[in-house]
Amino acid sequence: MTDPHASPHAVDRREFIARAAGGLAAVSLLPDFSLARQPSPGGGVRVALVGAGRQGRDIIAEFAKIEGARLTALCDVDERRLASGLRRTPGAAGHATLDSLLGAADTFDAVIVATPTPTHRAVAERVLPSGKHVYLECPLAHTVEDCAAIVAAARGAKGTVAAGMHARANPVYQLARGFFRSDSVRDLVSMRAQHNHKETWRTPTNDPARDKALNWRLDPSVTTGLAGEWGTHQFDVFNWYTGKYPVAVRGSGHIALHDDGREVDDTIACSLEWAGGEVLQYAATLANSYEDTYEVLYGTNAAIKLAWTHGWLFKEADAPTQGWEVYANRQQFFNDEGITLIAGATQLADQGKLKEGVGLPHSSLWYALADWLAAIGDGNAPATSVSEAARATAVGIAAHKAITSGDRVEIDLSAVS
Amino acid sequence: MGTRFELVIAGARAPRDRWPAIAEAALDAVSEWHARLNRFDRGSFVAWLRERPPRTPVPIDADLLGLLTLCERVWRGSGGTFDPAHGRFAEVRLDPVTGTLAFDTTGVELDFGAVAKGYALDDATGVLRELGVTGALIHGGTSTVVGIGAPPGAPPGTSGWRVQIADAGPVVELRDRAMSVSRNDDPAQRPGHVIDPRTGEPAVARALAAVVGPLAAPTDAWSTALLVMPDRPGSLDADLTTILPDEKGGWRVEGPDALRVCAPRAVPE
Repeated sequence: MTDPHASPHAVDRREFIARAAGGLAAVSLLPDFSLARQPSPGGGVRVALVGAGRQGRDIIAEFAKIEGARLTALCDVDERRLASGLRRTPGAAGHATLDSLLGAADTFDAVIVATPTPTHRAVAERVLPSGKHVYLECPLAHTVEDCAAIVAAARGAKGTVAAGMHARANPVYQLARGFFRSDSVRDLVSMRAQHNHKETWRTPTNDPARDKALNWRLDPSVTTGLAGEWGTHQFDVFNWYTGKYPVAVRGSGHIALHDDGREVDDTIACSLEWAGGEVLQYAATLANSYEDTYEVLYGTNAAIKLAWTHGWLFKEADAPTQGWEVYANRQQFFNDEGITLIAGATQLADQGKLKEGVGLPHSSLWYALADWLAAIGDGNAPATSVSEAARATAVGIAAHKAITSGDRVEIDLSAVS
Repeated sequence: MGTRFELVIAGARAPRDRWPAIAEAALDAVSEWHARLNRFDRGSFVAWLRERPPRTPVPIDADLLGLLTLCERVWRGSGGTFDPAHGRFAEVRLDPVTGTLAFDTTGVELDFGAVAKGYALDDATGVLRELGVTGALIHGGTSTVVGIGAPPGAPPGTSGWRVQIADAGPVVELRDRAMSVSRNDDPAQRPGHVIDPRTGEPAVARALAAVVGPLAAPTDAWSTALLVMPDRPGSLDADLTTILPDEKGGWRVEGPDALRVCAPRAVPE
């Protein structure tokens, strides 16, 4: 029987080091072996976007900067959001229902599902069998049952199906994962992550009829809270890096700032346990913005800090020095000095432009969308499969359950493995 | 836009505990424009545009088309003293019918620094109005400000938010009006930060220009142009009021909102 907490692609880290012994020098000399995939400019993929809310608007903005694809259809059941989205998508046709969109299936080749999380399953089960390429925003769903249903529907899909776990397509995260799985970090000591962003999480409206639909994140009956909506993406970084999933979680939460009648915590903390004894400490709040969003993996040789567009390697004093380090760009953080992780560092260094490579030019969302479109074009697998997204989402759902119940929750991934 | 935006809500139809979310929605609109128009951000739409090959039409959305149409109008009306392409706006091809934008040559770069704050504030003001805000003051970098309604407890005789220009300048009452103030560091002493795009030299016509009107984007764009132009031009939108320093140390106020402008001493405490 397979361990549901182990990734099907997991390779024991020491085994990886042994197998990659010949490649280790290359990793050391070329810390840029991983670069983002991009669609062919001549690809011309016609894309329909379902959901023109907050995430949909971000997708529209990123699509304007991606060559080789264009939004040809936009669908939203909310009239105002549809109208607002259409202002930003020149040439796209508007659809007020999914039936209307699917009735015009000859106008698009691919579909992005960016509706509220609790509606993902209903939409996914309609679009996945349609033969179109599909991109599913994450978290994948608000229940494990819905995750499993989406995974089942994706198995029969004929198009290229990707899930929006943004870290996996991010060049800085791909680069850092190479360091993590080499000897640069060595043995994992602990893990920590946070999401601090001062905001209400409330979408204002004058129309009481729209309020419930627009503010589903504050509806206790369907929300997965900060742990589900944000934590899922961040937990997946650790799942992906370690090749394993946590086995249990405990946590707590409270309302620290937004005392506006809501029942959903605006501040949470939780502790996720891995089978080997490793622990991830996670905290998230809507009451403070200090240091924003990041993940840290602490190893016996170094720590890696990842902040979506940026990444750093903080070496221990007794860690061996590697050849490329003399050319590395460095940043000071109080008493610590970080080596900046730069995607494409060798090419930039050759051009004398290493510092220009600090920080990614695009958002993680842009890389995730570009990776999916590239996968449609070249037939290779996208960065995140639906199964991987389902397992990460199940972890987020379990964390939310632990926070709201106060219980230690064992994470059961058998339904999505 | 490299500056601070601030918003005060003084009245709204929604309960008070919903006001933070309303303010957030308005400021989100500003952030979205910043993300699209910031030429210093490699991931912005404007940065992406400058990398496009010349004579290649790029589809643009209705909002950006609206901004560029305004820019073209002020560029023409000001004789090029307002130029959001560093003196090369003549090489920008805007096609309102197809909704596309193209540059004639390489190296053309759009710089909305003299209009973006106003355009973003208009968008934010639209959000506030749509969400039932009846009284608010919102500004970007203190150089462009919009008043909605009036502040609570406004003194008798005042009809809007009272905003003073510079340290000892006139006070303008803004009720459903925007005002932009452009300032050039003492042109007699040293070059200022505003460049005349026609010559590439620092602007020298006057140290300060203020414009009041119904929308912030035109006031923002025209206040910059008027730093360089010697007089209020005939091409100026009829609904704009100009406030310019005169030769005697006073202020010359012209336009439909002139009565909303008063000397500081006339303002009730």
